[in-house]
Amino acid sequence: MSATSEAPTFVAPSDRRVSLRSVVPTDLLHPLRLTLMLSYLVVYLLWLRYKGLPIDRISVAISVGIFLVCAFVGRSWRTWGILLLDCLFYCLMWLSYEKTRGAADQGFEVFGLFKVGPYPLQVESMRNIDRFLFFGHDPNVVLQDHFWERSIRWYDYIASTTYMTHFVFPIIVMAVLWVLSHRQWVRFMKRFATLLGVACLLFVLLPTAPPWMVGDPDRPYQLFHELHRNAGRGFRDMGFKGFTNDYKVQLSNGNAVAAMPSLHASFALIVPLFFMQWIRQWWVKAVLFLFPITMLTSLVYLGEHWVIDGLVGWSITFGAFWFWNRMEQRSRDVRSRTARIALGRPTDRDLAVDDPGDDARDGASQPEVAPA
Amino acid sequence: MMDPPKALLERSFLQAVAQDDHADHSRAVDEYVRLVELYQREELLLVAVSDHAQRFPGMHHPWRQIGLRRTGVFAPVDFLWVGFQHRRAARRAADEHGLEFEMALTLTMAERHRIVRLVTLDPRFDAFELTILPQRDESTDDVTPAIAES
Repeated sequence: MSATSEAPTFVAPSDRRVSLRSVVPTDLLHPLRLTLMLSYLVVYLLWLRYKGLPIDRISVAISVGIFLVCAFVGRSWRTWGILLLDCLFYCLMWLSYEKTRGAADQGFEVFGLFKVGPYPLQVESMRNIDRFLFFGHDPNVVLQDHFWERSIRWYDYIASTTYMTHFVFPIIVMAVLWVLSHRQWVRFMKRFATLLGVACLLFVLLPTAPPWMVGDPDRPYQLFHELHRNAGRGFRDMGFKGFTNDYKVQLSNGNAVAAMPSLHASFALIVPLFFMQWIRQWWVKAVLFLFPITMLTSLVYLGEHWVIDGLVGWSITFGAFWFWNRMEQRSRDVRSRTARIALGRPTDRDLAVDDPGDDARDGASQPEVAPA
Repeated sequence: MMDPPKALLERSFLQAVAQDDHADHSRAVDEYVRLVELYQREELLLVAVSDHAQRFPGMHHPWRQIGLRRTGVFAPVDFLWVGFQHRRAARRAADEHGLEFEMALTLTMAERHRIVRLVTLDPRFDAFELTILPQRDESTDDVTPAIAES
């Protein structure tokens, strides 16, 4: 065995092993970070109750930023540097998304070189797909005709609250992952950014009139009766409210026809899908998947999206996971093979080539008994 | 908690893997290949203290600092970056408990990152509450005890 040149003077009890905590000084800033995070959580919940839920990008980013400052107090300069880089990419991602979404129905110039779009507004196509899926019925119309009432019912609370989670739920998950595991945060953001990128592409290629717009009597293409559009009424009736700050005016890139795919549906799926890997019980998985189903049902009931918007949103989410799962496995395979090659040890490919089963499959004839 | 469990490759182990003429090279490589298989299946993450890992060829390249350009034997290994607060804690641990500084640094990084698996050929780490790899073969163990007894 190798031994160091410096003789140890540390004497351990002979009958038991020593815990690291008894040797390594305590990180005194750890309880401080926990205290700050918990305090912030309490203040945030009070703010939520009395001022409302921040739903514009900048307010949400500020909320997350304060939380991260609490969580990273006393960390190394390198950790702070990585956090700042992460924030930069995060802001660039959202800015790109907002600008692209805002210009989806008007086209935009790519670095002044050429223009993309505008593409024709989809008015009937998504509705026709929904009618095909639902045997000639309009799900938005059916749900509202059967369930919408002047007085707020219990399902209005569920639908409205579920709808409002879109503005904070994924962001909260990002913040928590940022603190718990940078590796998992990066994995989540790859999938999330892919989802946003593909969605923006579709916003440009398929600007789509949502159901409430298609039912609007002031539009020239009214396809069915006017829908009730009040996604927040259940949420507000519970005493909560959403608020946006003035920077929304400066960042005002909301676009009603950026509806296909539904990012409400996508965001509702990406979080449970990401955490599936740690859940063993099938019934817990089933309960978690109720959330995206509830979200899509709510979106349709509230007249915000077609069913196909949500299904395409889910497909993109699954696609993003499939793609990055493969890429990450490939990365691990390449690094493992690199290490084995450097060590002169056989790689998976070498073992596969040596497998006699390959020759049999290739149809090569082999002697049954090796010649003496 | 969310990541696969981590195995900290201690410098004595890194040395044995990297140096062909090391007395324990073959044994270390066998263990390392086993760990790499677990890494490939995403059952384990391989990490090393940055101060120790960067002494090996290719590990101090600027791109490697940010996890890119992963070449050579230690391509699957991530760095545990040492900050000044880790050095300060390691220095205190070394001074208070009579430990070698590098050993104290390894213990500090393991504690701060909540790592319980240590891959090492240094028997001094046997005295600590860690899962030591490769597993010791006590029947052929002719090494002096990890900790000197007064």
